[in-house]
Amino acid sequence: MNNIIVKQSQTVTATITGTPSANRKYKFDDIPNLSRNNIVLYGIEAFTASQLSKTSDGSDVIAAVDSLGVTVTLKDNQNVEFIYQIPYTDLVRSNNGGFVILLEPKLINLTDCYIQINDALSLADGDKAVFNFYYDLV
Amino acid sequence: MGIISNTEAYMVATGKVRDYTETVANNCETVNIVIPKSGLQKIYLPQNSLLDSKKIRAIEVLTDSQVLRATIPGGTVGDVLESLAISAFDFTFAKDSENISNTPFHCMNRVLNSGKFYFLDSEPGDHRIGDSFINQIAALDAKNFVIVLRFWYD
Repeated sequence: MNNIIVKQSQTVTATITGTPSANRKYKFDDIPNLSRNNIVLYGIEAFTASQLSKTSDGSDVIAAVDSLGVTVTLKDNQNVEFIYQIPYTDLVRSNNGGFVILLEPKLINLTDCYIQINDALSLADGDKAVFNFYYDLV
Repeated sequence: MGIISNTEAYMVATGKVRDYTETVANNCETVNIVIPKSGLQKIYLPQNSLLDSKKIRAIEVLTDSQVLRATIPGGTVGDVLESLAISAFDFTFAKDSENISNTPFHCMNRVLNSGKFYFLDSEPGDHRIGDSFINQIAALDAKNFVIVLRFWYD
């Protein structure tokens, strides 16, 4: 097994808006310097409130128990869903013996990537799914 | 190191991964920072020309589950940040106004990540410790606790 070496990293989020319900999808929030198909993603990590209690803008991070109802889909710059509905909890580093999930480096389209709710549990309007993207700039 | 695919070979060649059994680094330096107030805040690290001129391999944050007290400027000691409070902080590694990485403390604590390090492999000149900072993002009172950052370098 390999450990990731961080070239660049940034926290990215997907915000739950309205009343969460099964099958609803929420796209990743726009980050201007990452959302121009200009990053090659090679690692991803997700956080629950156990790892990060708030986002940088003060929003609530989804709780560990609620993360069981969430999946993540990543799209590349060709709009291919190259990671399809991976469970959110699988991306939490401490659930994987401390290893960050490594990916074949790919150009991604940040704002087409999304989370999907399969079970709303106690998710609420305004909660955020929070990730760290490990990437190289193109 | 076992190479099992071209992708993995590419990741190694471009410095994106390293085997977890490899030596971390030959030296380490500890930076202790006293949290100056309670609530939300941004704390810049003190300048450190030694680390600025070295290749930084990895960064760790230590909590009271590893060490109870740490030395602070002035020669006394203070209580180390509690493990329970770790989710309230993140760290941004930077140079000038460019943020190289932005990482929750939880990622940099080895106890919480099965002993794995948070590797950066940042070359001399690519980072500046005095431009790096800690953000407290949740409004708990951790005033006067000591944040212990350990930098592994070559």
